[in-house]
Amino acid sequence: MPKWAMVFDLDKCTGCGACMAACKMENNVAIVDPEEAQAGRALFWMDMINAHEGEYPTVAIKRMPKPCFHCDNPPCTKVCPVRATYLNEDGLVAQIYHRCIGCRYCMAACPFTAKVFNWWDPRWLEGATTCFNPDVSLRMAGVVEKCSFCAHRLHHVNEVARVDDRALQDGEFMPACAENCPADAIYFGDLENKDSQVYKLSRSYRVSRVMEDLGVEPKVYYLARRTA
Amino acid sequence: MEIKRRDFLRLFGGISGALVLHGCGLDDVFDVPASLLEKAKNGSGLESWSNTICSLCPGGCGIQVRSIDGVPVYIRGNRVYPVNQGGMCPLGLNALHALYNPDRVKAPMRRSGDVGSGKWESVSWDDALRTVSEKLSGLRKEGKPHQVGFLGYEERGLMRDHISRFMRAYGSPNYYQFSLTQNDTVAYQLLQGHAQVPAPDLLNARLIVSFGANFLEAGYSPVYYTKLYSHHQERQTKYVQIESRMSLTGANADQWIPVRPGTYGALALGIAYVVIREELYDKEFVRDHTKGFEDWIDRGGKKHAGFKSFVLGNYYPERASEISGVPSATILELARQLGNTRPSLILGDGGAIANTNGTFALMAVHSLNALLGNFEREGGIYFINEPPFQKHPDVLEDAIAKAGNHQTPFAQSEDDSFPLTNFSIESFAKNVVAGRPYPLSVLFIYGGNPLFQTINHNDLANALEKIDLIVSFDSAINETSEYAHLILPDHMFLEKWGEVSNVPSVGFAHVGVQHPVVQPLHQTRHTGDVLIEIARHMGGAVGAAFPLNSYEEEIKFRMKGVYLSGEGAVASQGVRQLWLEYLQQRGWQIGRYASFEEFWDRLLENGGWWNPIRKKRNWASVFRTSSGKFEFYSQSLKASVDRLVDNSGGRQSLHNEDLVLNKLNISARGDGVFVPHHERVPYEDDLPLYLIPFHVLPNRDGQASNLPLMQEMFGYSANRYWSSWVEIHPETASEYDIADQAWVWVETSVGRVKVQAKLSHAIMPNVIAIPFGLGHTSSGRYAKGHGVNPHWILRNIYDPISGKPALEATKAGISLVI
Repeated sequence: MPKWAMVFDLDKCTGCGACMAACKMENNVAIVDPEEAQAGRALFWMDMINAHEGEYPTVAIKRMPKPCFHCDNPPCTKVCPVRATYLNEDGLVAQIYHRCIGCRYCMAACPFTAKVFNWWDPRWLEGATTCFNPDVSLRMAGVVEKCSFCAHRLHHVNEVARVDDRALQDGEFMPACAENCPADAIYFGDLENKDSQVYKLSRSYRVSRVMEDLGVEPKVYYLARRTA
Repeated sequence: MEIKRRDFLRLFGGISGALVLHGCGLDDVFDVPASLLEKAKNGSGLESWSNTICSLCPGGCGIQVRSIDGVPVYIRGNRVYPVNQGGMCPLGLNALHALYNPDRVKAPMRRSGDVGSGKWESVSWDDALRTVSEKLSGLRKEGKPHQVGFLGYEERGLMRDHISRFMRAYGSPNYYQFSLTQNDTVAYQLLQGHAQVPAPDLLNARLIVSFGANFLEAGYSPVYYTKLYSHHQERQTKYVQIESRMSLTGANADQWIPVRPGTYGALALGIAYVVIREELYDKEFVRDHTKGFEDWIDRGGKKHAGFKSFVLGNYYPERASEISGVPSATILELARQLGNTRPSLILGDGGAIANTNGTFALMAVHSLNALLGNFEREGGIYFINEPPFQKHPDVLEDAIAKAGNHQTPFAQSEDDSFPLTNFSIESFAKNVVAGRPYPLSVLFIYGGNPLFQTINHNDLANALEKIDLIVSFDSAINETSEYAHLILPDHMFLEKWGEVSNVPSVGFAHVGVQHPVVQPLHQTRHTGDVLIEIARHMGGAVGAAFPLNSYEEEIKFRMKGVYLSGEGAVASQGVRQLWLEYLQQRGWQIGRYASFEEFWDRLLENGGWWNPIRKKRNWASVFRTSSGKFEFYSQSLKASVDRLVDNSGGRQSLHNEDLVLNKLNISARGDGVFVPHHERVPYEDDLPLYLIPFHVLPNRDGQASNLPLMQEMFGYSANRYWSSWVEIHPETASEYDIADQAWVWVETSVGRVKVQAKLSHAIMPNVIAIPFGLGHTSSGRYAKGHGVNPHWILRNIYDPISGKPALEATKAGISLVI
C-alpha cells in the first residue's frame, strides 16, 4: 500500500502563494465574501503561515505553506460521528461530503487547523462556472472540506497505469501545488517507494514535521537549514 | 472512430463533471455563451492540452491550458518553456477568471452619458471602425495627422513594432507607453550608451546585492527569478537585500539592510568608497573598459576630477551612514564582502529609482557593477540579442505622413521639464491641457490603466476630458476607459494570436507564441487586426503599410526570420542549455526542421523558441557610448546639459547654468553633476513619516483587482483579505498610540486615506508602507470599493532627469481614527 507524502523545502520556498492559487483553481474551492474572509472564514486548502521572528533590524519573515498533513494516525477521523472522514487505502485522509453533518468535531480535533468549513453556499466568479474542474465535485453549505492531495488525479493516473499494465512511476501522481511551484520547493511521492525523491528527502538531516510529539504521524515533511 | 481505453477514461472524467454542474443548480448565473455551456454540460468530455504564453504581466511564462471539449478549465506551467520551466505565479494560475470575467466588455461600445455615468450603448464593429477611420481620415485631410496619440502599456516586440508602424504610416510621432517600468533605463543609457536592461546571471553569482530590486515579486519576470533563486542553497549564493520595507525578496534574502527612502545612491557610493580605498575593485576592467575613473584632462587641457577622487572626497562611510541610516560598520562589511567574493552582482530597481534622485541613484548602483568588472562575465551581467525576426519592408510614408512625423513629439515638453526622456505622463498631461505644441484630437489607449496608476491623477483626468475622441482597446471598463468615447474591446490573451519575446533581464533570447486556445467568447477583435482594418479603411500609403491580412500572418512572417537564421531551437523536453552549447561548439545546427511549416507547428505545439547560446560580444556593442567604454563621467549627460544651457542663453553667465541645474533638481556643480552622486530629495520636513507604496505578487499593477481570488489573496502575506493595510514599525506606532489592526488616517499634503494598521518589525521606524493595487473606483464588481490606492495621496513629483514618478518622495502623518 502506498504512503503518499509531501515534502516542502523551505529553503527554496519563497512564499509566493502560487500553490494556494493552483489549489483553489484545481479543486473548485469557493471564494467567500470579503467580510467573511476577514473574519477567518476564507477557504484555503493550501494555506500560508506567516511568522515574523526577531526584532528590527535582524528580523526574519518565515512563510510556510500548509496543506492537510494526511496523518497516519489522524485525530480528525476518530471524532467523526458519521464516518465522513477516514483514512483510505491509499493512505490519504478522505472526506465524504454528503455524509458530513457539519458538526466540525474534526476541525476542532485537527491540531494543524487544516480543515475549513463551508458556512455559506459556495460562490465563485460570477458566470465562470464553466471553468470548474470536472474531476472534483462541488461542496455545499454546511460541510467540512480540506486538501485531498488531489486524490482525483491519483484515480486517473492509477487507471492509466492499469490500462498500460505497469506500476505507477515516481512523479506521475502530482498535486496541482507541486506541479506549479516556481521554486520547485514541493516534492510529492510514495514513501514506500525507496527510490522516490520524497523517501530520500524524508531521511534528510534538514527534515522536521510539525508537532511531531503528538504522535499523529503527519505525512508532510518540511526541510529547513535551521529550526527556530 | 475507435475509442481507446485511455480516451474513455478521459470521457468518464468529463461526464462526472457534467453531473456536478447539473447537480448544483447554478444554471441561472452563467454568463458565457450558451454553446460553451452546452459543451461543458453535455460534451463528450474529451480532455486536451494546448500551450500558449501568459501575458497578464510582462513576465512571459509558458502555460498549458487544459480544456474539456474545448472549454478551458485549468492552467499549469509549461515545463519545457525556458523562462518559467513549469513554474507559475498566483496571477497566471488565475487567468481563467480573467477569461470568464463577467465585467468584460463584450462588444464595441460608445459612451452615451457623462464620464463615470456608466451609460454605454453598444455599436456594431462596422460603425465603430467607420467612426474612427473617418475621424482619422479627416485629420489627415486637414494635414493634422500628428494630432493623434497612442498611449500603450507594456507591449513589446512585434506588437510595439505593429503600433509604431501604424503611427508612422499614418503620420504621427506620438506613440508612448505608460507602464510601471517606464523610463527605468535612463541611468543605463547615460552610463553604458544604450538603454538595454542588463540580464543578471543570478545562477553563477556567489553574492547578490540588490538595491531595492524586489525581483521575486515585482521584477520583469518573477517566476524566472524564483526559479533561479531556488538554486541558492546548492550553489551557496548569498542574497543581500537593501530596502526600507522588507519585501518578499527581502524576506528570502540572507540579509536585509534597511535604508532610509531616497538615499540608495549615497549608500552605493559609500560602498564604492570602501571598494576603491581598499583596492578591491577590478583594476584591469576599470583600466580597459571605463572612462572617467581616474582624474583626466580633456582636449582643451582642462583638468577634471575622476569618479575615484570624487567618491573618496565625498562618500566616506560615516557620511554615507549619516545620509542613509545604515551603520558604517555594515557598509564596511558589505563592501569588503563584495570586493572579496567573486562573482558578486549588483541589482538596482524599485525604491532605488522611484524617487526624484532615482537616475543618479541607479547610476551609483550600476557603477558598482563596473567597479567589480561584472560586464559580459559569468556571474555578472549580460546583454541579450534580439531574436532574428524577419524585417518588414520599410514604411513608405506619403507627404502628409512625412510632414506629420516631423512635428515635435507631443510629450516632449516645451519647457524642458524632462529633457532626457521622450515621455513623461506629467508633461503629456500638461501639454494636452495647454494644447501645446498643438491640440491632441484623438487618443488611442491600449492596455494599462494610467489614471489609476499615475500620481498625477487630476492633471491626467483634465487632459483626457480635453480630447475629442478617446478610443480604448480595453477589455474592461476601468478608471481610464471611463473617459473613452469608444471602446473597441480586444481579446483576452487566451483567445488571441500574440508573441512575447525577450522579456527584459531574462538571460537568453526567446520568443513565445500565443495562439487562441479558445474561440473568442464575445464580440471582441484583436487590436492588431483592428489597426490593420483602420489603415485599410484609410487606404493609400497608410493601407499599403499593411500588406498582410492579419496580425497572425504578421507573426508568421516575422518568425520566418527566426527559422531561416538556423539559430536556437524550439523549446523542447530534455534539451537543456549545456547540451545545446555542446552541440553548437561542435558545429551542429541545433534547430533542424524540414520546412518552415514544420518549424511553425512545433513552435505552437511547444510554446516557443529560444537561443541559450550567447555569442561573445565585442566591447563596442556592450558600451555604445562615444568613448566605447563605461562612462563614470557621463558624456551624454554633459552634452544634454550643455545643450540646455546653450538654449537658455549660454555659458557666459553662470546664472544660466544654475537655472538649468536647479530645474533638474541637481544641487551638485562642476564635474560632480556628471558622475554618479547623491542628490537630496525635497521632502516636506514638517511631516514626520516617509510613505512608500509597494507591490504584491497577486496584483502587481492594479489590473488584477477584478479577479475575486486575487482580491482574496491580495494580503495573504499580512493576513488581510480584500483590503489594504499600512505597515508600521511598533516603535513608531507606540508614539501615536496605534495598536495592531487599529484604523488610522494616513495624511499627506495631497490628501488622506483610512486604512488598518499592521505592526511589523520588517519595516524601518519612521517609514510607513501601503500596498498598491486596491482602491478602485471602477474596473468591475470585484474591484470597486475595496481598500485604498496609495497613489492618490502621493505628491505629484518626478525624477526630473528620467521623468519617472517619484513614488517614495512623499512624507505623511498618521493618526488614529476616532
